[in-house]
Amino acid sequence: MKIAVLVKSVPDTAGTPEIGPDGRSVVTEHLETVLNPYDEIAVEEAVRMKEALGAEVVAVGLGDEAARKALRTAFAMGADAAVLARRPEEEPLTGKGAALCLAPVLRELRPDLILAGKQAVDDDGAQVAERVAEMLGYLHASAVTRLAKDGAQLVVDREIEGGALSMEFPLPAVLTVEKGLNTPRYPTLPQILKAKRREIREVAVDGEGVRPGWRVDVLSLPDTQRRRQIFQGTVTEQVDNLLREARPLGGLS
Amino acid sequence: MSILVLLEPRGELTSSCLSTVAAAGRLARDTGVELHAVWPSPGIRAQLGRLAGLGIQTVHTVREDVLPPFSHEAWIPFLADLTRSLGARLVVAPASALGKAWSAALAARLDAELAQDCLGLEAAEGGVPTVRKPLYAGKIVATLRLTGAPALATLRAGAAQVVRAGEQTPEIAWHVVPPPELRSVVRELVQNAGGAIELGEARVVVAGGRGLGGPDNWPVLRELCATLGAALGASRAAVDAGWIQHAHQVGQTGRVVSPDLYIACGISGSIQHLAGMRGAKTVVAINKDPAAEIFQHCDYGLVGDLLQIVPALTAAVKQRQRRVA
Amino acid sequence: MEMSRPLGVYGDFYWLMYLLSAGALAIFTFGVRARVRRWRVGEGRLGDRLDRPWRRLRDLAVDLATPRRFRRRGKPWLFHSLMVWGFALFLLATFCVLLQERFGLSTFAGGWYLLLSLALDLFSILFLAGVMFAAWRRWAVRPAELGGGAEDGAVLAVLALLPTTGLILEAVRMAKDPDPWGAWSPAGAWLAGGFSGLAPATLDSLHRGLWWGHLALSLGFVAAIPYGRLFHLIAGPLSLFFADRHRARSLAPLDFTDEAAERFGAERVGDLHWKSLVETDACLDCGRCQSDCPAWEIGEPLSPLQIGQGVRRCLDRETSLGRRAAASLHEQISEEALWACSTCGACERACPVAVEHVPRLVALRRYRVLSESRFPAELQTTFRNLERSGNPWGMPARERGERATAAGWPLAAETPPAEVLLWTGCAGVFDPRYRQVTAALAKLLDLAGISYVVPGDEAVCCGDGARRLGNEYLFQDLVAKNMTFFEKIGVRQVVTACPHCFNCLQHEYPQFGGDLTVTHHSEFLADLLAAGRLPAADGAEKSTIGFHDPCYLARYNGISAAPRRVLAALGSDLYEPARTGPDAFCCGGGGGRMWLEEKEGRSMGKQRVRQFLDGGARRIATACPFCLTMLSEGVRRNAEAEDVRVLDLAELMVENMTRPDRR
Repeated sequence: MKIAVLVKSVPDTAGTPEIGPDGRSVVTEHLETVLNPYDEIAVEEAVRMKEALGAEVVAVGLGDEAARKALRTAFAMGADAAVLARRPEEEPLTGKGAALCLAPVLRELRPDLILAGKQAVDDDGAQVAERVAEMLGYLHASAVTRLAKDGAQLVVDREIEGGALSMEFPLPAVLTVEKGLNTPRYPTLPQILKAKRREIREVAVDGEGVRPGWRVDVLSLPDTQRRRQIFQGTVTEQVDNLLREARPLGGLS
Repeated sequence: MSILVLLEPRGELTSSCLSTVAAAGRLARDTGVELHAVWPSPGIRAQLGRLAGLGIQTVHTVREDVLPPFSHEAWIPFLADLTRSLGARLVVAPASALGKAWSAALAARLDAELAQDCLGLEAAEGGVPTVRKPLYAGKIVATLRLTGAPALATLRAGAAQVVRAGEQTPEIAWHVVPPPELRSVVRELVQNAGGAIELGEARVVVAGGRGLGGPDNWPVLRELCATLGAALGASRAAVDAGWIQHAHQVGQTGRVVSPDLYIACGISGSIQHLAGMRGAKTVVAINKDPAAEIFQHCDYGLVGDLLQIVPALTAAVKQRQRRVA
Repeated sequence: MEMSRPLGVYGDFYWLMYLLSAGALAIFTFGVRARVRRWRVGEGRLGDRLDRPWRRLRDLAVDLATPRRFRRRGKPWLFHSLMVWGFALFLLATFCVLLQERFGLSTFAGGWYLLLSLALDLFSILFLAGVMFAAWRRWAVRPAELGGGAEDGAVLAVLALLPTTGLILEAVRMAKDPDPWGAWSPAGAWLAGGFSGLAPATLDSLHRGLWWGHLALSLGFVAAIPYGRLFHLIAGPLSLFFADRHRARSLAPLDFTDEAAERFGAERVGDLHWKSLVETDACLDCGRCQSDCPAWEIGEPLSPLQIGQGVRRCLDRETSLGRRAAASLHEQISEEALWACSTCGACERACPVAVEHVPRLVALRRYRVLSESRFPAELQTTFRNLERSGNPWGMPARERGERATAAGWPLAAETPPAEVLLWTGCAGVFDPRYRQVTAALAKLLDLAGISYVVPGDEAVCCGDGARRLGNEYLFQDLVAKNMTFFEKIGVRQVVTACPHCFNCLQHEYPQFGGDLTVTHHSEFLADLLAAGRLPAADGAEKSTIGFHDPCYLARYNGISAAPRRVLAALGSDLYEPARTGPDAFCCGGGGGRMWLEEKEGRSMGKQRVRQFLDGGARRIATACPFCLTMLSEGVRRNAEAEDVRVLDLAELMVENMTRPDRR
């Protein structure tokens, strides 16, 4: 069985990205690059399936040098091979563009199962894996929190608000994983060091039809400082004010 | 030209779904186009009343439950055809789990861009839809002009206020489709038991600390948890004092959580606790000491006795929930 | 008349003596070689511990002559020393006799002979007294910490027999042949009276028997040394000689550039340094490391004694003549015990043979963390935070500079060079409580007219916690980032309020090219007070105050006078608990324990606070952010400590200077 895992390098979310001088691009060079946390869960799941079922795990990335970091982490966690889809440096990709670049690479790999994180924590796009599935004609399920293989069928639980949806379908398929599916392992140092020397196969993608279907008008930094809005007064006043001002709380009621 | 709203595939008109309709309705009005909706589940007639006065011209659905609910494999081809036949310039859906997943699949079918989890929807000149989309865990907000047509967007709860103008309910358009050959099967929908929500994945956390005073006052917090659908957390002080189990501890040496909403009750805000909940999008602090460190790290703070404030808050939330329903 | 006595009484049979001696020596040598072969299982070269040989020799001599390796245990020191010195004397005398007999040197004659005779008699008695005391302590007092068993009893018996037979032999000789210098052998002379009634022939036989008997016993003793606990005689001094007495404050770095390395840290005995294996023979299970260990005292399963015994067991298993079996050190120590250590160093201070407990434990941790990724779950968060944000709490890196600027402290990167770099450390800038301490220190520097800058975002955690938790890889990553910062700002003089930062920057950064002069704020402030650059406080502290010595300040770096000079200048009424200065009881925050969960309410901080409460202290002063945190926590957990305040020295000084009754 061959499992492909889509991995992306993202800036560490503990840091703060900055807006470039043109006001329409994001600067993240000053931040640590890490493997997208949801993709980490996907890699972990793939490696577990390899350990249980003897599958082959191929990590697939898209981009440039930063993307290699994600692939190396996948190696350290137990991936068998890695493929980097390279395209000429241009504008940042939208989800549509990324899927257009990745689909041919995956078509060539012909995996039985493709795993990916439910979203990347930089652009929060949450769509590349589903798009690839549709382009390849694979079935797909998103936000999986439980996964079992029953013969040639996959049984998954997908997390939805207030509960879970249980589905069953055959391979080949694409799954995006949600937190809670597993706890990713912390690779040992020898594994990390070995991963630095593993070979990453590069595939050129020409990015045909990859022009973005949206235009970035402007980027803004919402106030990240805590508001520190303090309510005094009677209990009733305080609660009323809180429910009025705090949108997330208001939204739940 | 029209706008199509994909109503919640879970088959419920959630408040997030309604605010999506409201946003789409406002855009449709502002740009002078028709607003359509599609109900990808059975039982449209029962929901029709709740769609009144929101500007939807027609709700599309499929006759006789030919397409099983919850199955995107079944519905996506129909949705794509519908979008094309309506000439929809924009398809919006609530940014729920299914809303986002279905939109991604639909976007692939339509070879269209999709902006997920947007905060708001406006029209730019020429009627081009524009969305405000958060990036980097909300640290940056991008204003994107959706130049490609069609384009898709999913909207967060609260993207627009639900304001009903009149009592007009939409027409229902019944579509006939051949029964599809499906490879996937939806086995069941499992509802969360009314029981405790797991701390690590919870979207809302209510946490208690030294201010609880002892093991006896925790039901007050549990009540609020049940009302909000929140998980129960605790500071190290409360756990060390034996008032609550370690599994609830939030902090450097406990669980590190990043919920949408964190309500800290009677917690002073020591650094090792902050390290565990700093990632929360919105923090509400309730403490009787106005000088407590937690007030430096909250969005909204209530100075007072939590044993009075929390029950009042619970009651107020419950009342609002009854009103909306 | 010649001051000596006739030698070579049994000269005709010396061939037998040489034969026996050769035999004994051969057995001895064979045994020693087997032991040394065991030590060579360990890694490292002999040259590692041969630097500054004269210094080592001098340290060994001082260890053997003074009580410094027997802290707070005066009586055992005295009686053990009597045996050590006695034994050395016996060896010396034997050597003197040999030189005189074989080479005709005047080493057993003259005034020297008289002195030697007296000393020998005296020390025979004292040696016996030592053995008696040891026996009494072992079988009558039975202290809990004392290990060992049947073999120790046998050793004591032999040790008692040696001087006894020697004395009786001397007595018989003096009864047999008149000794003009008999007064210089009083014990022998006194005993001789008991044999005076015997016939000369009897005395001759008795003497012959005793002489050869004593020889056989002595030679047997020598031959047996390498084969049992007695090897301590050699291994003990060797352990002291080869010790790096300050290894714990500057742990050996790992080399990560070796691409083939599969294992990091210690899994088996072969991964430990050979010095640790010497220690398995030097250690006689006296158990003081265990009884002084604060973790053990509060009920943790951590026992340095048991770890040492575990190492010995593994070494035995791996080198046994029969079936050799690979033995993992990690089967000898539980997970809980390994992580319960705060690296306070009390075990090392208590050890009479300089066992290096801390590096050995860190080597075990390194294996778990680096080679197995097996460590307590809460450390994942800490390691991740250090890696990505440069501080253990995961606060955004840029806040390091922002907080400093908000507090009005000039940033190193933005300000022209100043006199000192005030190294805030992570707590000093991110922890609201300790920010107050930094503010107090900054204020004092201003008052003294000393210009300073603080680090901004380019600096990260010093890495002490990461290193002591075994994550050497992360540690070196942090060091590299800080070295870039230090090189960029070119400041050499550093002052810090954190003893961990102090120790790390001063002693461990040089391993990576660091060249800083680091001063802890207690010394810095004490010097400023002495030089009159800070107003000397004159008012007396109203309440009794205790000073808690941070382990990394007092025990690791010998700094305990400076904080007291500061407190004295403030007119404090200082209470000193039993465990004070370099003997202080750990707060429980070091060794990365600050980032680990305390189990089942066991808390060193709570215990330590109680020690101060017992003395009536209502205020506790300290000079370390971990101590401040752990003791404050300890105060909260002690019911009777409601109003007890824990303060830093700098805060105390500022408070004192801004008192309303001062002008």
